[in-house]
Amino acid sequence: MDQEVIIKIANLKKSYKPKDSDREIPVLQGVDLEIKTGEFAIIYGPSGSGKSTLLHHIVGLESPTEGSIYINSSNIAKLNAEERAIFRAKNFGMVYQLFYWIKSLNVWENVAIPLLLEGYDFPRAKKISLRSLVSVGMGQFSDKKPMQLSGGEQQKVGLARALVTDPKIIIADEPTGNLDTHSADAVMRIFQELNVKYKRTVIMVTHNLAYLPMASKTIAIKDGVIVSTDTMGVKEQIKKELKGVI
Amino acid sequence: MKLRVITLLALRNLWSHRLRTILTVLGVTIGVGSIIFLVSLGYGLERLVTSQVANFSAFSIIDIPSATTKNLKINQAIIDKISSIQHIQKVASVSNLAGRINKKDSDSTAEVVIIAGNVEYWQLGEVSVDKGNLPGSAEEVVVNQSVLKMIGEDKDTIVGKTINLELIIPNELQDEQTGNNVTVSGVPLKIVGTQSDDSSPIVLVDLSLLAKNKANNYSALKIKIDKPDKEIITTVRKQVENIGFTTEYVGDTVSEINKVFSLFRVILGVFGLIALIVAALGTFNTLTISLLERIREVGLFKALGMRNKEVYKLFLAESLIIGVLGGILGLILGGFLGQGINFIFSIMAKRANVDAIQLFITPWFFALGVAFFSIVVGFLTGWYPSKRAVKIDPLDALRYE
Repeated sequence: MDQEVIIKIANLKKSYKPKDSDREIPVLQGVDLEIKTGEFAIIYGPSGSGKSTLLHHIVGLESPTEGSIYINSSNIAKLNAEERAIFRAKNFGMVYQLFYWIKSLNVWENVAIPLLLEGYDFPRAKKISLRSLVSVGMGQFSDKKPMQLSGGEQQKVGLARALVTDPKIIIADEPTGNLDTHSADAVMRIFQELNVKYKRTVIMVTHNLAYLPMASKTIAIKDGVIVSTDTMGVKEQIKKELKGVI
Repeated sequence: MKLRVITLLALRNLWSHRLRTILTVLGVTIGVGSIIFLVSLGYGLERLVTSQVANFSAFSIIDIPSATTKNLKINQAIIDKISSIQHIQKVASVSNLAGRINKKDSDSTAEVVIIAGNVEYWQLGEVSVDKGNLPGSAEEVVVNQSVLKMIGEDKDTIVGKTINLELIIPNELQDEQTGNNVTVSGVPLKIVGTQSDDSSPIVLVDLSLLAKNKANNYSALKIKIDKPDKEIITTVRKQVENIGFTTEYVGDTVSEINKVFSLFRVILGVFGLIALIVAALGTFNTLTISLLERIREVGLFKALGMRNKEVYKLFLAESLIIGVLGGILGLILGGFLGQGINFIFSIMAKRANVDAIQLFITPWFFALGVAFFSIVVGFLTGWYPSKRAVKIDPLDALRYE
């Protein structure tokens, strides 16, 4: 299958200027990256390497100091925060490491938020949210408060929320970081299914190199630059990387 | 995001902090309620006092108590002149003089005030008797309780009896002015009615009695206007004053009373306002704390694509809900308390067999004004937290622990 490029990042640079300091701290130092439709890309690297910052740039939570970020041929580096928020809602589903909930709402209402933001009414949003919850195996918890669920269950609900708008691209920032191995495996299986069965593009940041074999593309990042990308022989790559990076 | 959804989200959040929300709304309710209660008391008292000063028909009557120059006398020519002024419906004249009446079974006399008028004057001046009739001819007289007390007569048996009245006609009422008072003694008059007033001794006689005694000038006039319109009253008064007389109008007194009571209402309103300001500060505090607790939630909303104006609306919706709810409940509370007290007073009045009074009056424009004001308070208290919420950076908020 001829895959088209869905994300194209060129010469992406980001530096921060901490308060009370004149010196700029570079975080991303010229990242070039292409991700194609249907890929399962895992970005990995040590703490402080810039992997989360890269992810935040892709979804438009941060704006670059320099460079371009094309998503479906629109350069989101040129948009302002408000425009990026709208773009994000339309194009991405996001899963975070920590569980973020609107505490006054129950599980299905939390899942429905992206739909409500798009202008859906509660009844219609409920229908779609319940479907999304069932698809991650969490249908029976729809009326509970998210905080009453276990970590693994919460992450599945988080996934249901990311999927509810049927986005083409799913972004996950250390989604298993707070989970026990069993729950983490279950969540990862869902990601894999989404990618393989439903042809979604998945971009994930992780510490856990054990999941690298699931990826169709691995991106190693260190000190704000991509040190290697590989789409072939991932398992071989891991062995190499395990020696090299960690 | 639909406004209905934003409102529902705001309601859900308020409901999830029930106790805090109820206390905050209660604060606004008490603030609005106390403004309504206190200012309604001000309106009620004002109405009570003005109704004592003048009834509705009094507003179409202008008094001409005296001339501005001594030479100007109130006589028929003047009355004709005044009657020709546009919008004047009726002119009634009155003469006031002193008199004496013999006491029963004694040679000594009692001094009385004589008011000489005619049917028109009794009408315009709302003069009435409690028993019998008003004097209709030169031979009739009405006395009040005070006079009866002085001469030692009883009100139940006096009507129909005859008394002798001495008239002391002052110079200015006389046709041919002598420069002195003219005393006419021993005028026999039949008592046709009594008044229960016992504050000062007053007898009422017909103007024809004075005419008979060559006194065709009058002390004062009352004129009736066809419409109690402010502009008409002003022009008529000006025209009368141009002829050379002073004028008095009950509306002047009423507007003086209104002035005093508006100040009184403002003072009462300020007391209520203090309560509302305290409540507004409470609302502000609640919303600010609520924002600080929800920085992460705001971050999540924004990360999921909520627009700035939607964040703004969400927080403003909460403060407006508090303001509107507190406003409505405050109107009900303040109105209910006032009406409750009115009700108790009306029961007490019924028992005491007197006219019921309304101590609390809430004009609809005032109630509407306060309701609007509580919405403004809701808006103002929500404005700052909303602005702050809009400024939250989603990334910072999601990292926020």
